[in-house]
Amino acid sequence: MAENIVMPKLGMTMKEGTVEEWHKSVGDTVEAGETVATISSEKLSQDVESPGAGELLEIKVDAGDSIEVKGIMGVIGEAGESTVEAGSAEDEGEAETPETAGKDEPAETPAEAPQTQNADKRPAGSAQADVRIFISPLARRMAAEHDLPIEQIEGTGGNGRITRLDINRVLAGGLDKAAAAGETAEAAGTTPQAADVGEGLNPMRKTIARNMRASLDNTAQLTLHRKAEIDQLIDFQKKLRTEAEQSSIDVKLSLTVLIAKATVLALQDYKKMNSRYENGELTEYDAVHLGIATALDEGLVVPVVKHAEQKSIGALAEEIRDLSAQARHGEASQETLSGSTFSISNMGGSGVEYFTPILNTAESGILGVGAFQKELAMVNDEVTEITKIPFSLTFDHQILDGAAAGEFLTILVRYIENPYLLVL
Amino acid sequence: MSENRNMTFMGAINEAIDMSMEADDNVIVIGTDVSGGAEIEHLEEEKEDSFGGVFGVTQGLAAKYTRNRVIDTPIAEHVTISSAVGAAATGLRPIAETMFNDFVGFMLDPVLNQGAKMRYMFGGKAKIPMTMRTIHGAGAGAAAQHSQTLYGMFAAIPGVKVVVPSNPNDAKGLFLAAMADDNLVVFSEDKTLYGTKGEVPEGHYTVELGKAGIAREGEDLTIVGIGKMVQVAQEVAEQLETSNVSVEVIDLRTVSPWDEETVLESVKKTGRLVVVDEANPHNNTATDVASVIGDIGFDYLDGPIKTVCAPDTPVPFSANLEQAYIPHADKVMDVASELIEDLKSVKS
Repeated sequence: MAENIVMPKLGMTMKEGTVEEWHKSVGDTVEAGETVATISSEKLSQDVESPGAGELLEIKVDAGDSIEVKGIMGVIGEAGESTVEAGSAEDEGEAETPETAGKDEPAETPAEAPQTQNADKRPAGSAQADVRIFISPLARRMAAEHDLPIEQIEGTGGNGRITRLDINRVLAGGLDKAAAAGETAEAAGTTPQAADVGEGLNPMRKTIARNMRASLDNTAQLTLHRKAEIDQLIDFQKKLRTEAEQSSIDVKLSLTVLIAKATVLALQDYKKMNSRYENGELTEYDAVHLGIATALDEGLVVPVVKHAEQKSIGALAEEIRDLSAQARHGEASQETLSGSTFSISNMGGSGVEYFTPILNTAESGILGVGAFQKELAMVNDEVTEITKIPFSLTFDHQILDGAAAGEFLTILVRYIENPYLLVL
Repeated sequence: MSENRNMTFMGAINEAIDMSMEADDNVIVIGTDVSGGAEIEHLEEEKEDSFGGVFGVTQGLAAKYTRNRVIDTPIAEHVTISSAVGAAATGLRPIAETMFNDFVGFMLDPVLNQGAKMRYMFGGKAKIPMTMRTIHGAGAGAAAQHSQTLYGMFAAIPGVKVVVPSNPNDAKGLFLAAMADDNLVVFSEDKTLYGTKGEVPEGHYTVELGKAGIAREGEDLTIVGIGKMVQVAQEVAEQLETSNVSVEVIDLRTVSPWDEETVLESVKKTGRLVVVDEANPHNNTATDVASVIGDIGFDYLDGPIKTVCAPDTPVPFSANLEQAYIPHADKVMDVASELIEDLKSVKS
């Protein structure tokens, strides 16, 4: 019977691999265990051995191409044998070659991500790399029930075994060890007391509690503060509004919309900030899907303006208005509320100046907008009153450094202070 | 007389035999020296109180029920047990005594191939309502050929029930339950328990065969004891209590069929199991309990199952070596330390 040569999983976070080289050609005789190909993932390369003896019947993934883990790279069998049988034995879904569609669309919505991770997770107790973790059957079951990563639990039983006592300790006091580098995203949504987070709260608050806790647990958040002069933008808005009133655009052009537009342009200039880090993969996006944090009486939602980079100021204004209305009336769909690549949170209405917004994971950045501040400044040797707007940019220090985030803010400020750039 | 009397283990068995004989004329006692000198002419003076078996358990019965129902046999275990199996198959309810279980080699065929098989091979038409008393256990200075613990050998035979009581109360209740059973029941008595005392209710009562008892309730660790080893388990439990470790002690009572449900329920609660059995360490009741619970209780286990048994040697005659041979509390602590130490450190 024909046997499939499949893409091996080299690490916990590996999703796909690349065939570097085929050492055999179709028609070659192959021994079981003989090296047939070399593959690589982000970090490692490895030889792939033949699962059986026979002839290499088919190469499904050419050298240089990628395929997802467990995908069929080729088929070994007896000369003349049909390869259909081997193919059909595998799950069709797994055999598909996923092209990196991700560039434009986030692969998963945040809400779905945890499930996907769980499905991907190795059976508890199986060792990562070469480290065998000793854990009692009972503790293994408890760890699974509470979604605890056993690599991060110290075993204090006989033979260093993780026992119920260790699980109880971790449930009460948190994990013993930090996640290994690269596994950060793996643990997303599986915080130590994931089961307890949001306990006793209503469903919306529970979701918020979990998202906030997961965000703080899984990212290295740092917030930069900077003000920008906004008088010009205010003038620009007034003129634009007058123009708009005479046009067919049926929307109020608020400063929020203009700040959103400036942000979208800055993100396009500085794509590192327009990224998501999840499941051990960092993806920068060309498209800007802009989340607009919207306060409701009972909580907070973040409706997303999809493909904001393709929208004019007027279109952006209409969409932000519509999305906010939907959100306030509880009519926003899951689709509307997920998939953002960057978010804005505006506290200006509450008079707040600076604050430290929490990342809407798995985004790498969120912009906090504060209330206008009147200041005195020396302009042309005269004391003049100017208006400034405070920005609070929280970013994931895992992905970006302070200098990079500062650079993004500089670009943003340039758009704010030179509003005609918004319509160039 | 008070409702519950303090009575020896031996006295409780004697009372159970007496009650059985009193209640049913078909009950007979047969074995070597069970009536001793009773009713023998030139031993007139001893007529009233024969010795009653090697340890005197059947004392007084010959005088009460005559030598027709308390029958001495030559030192020929095969004859004793064969006769009893035949008597049981043909309508009596014999109590056969074989003295030391170490003589199993002489009496095995009537147990293994006759008594255990007849009910099955005759399609249920033959019953073997027979109770075979035998004696096991080290600690009496009886040396390697009179001190072994072999109930596990009988427990390996399908068609035989095997009972190992740990205290006077159970001894009486289990014996009366064995007498009521229509199958061959091996009733294995630890010779060193004969003098131990405990409360024994008056009158007829039974302790169900195949049902273990919970001798002490606990949360952290389950220790299953068999016969005298229940005392060892209790001792361990008391010692660990000072470290705030809560031990559940299960008295298995019947080693075939043994009570899987009670042991499993306890393990579901504690996650940790130690089995203490005085038998030699291989192919005994402890290994069987460990094997079955390792299977049906796998997902509830929080550590390996430990068996604490005698070493893989004959029983030494030397008194100090003999004491070292018998499983004791320190040995349980030592063998099961990996199940105990972390409990101690967390709980105290």
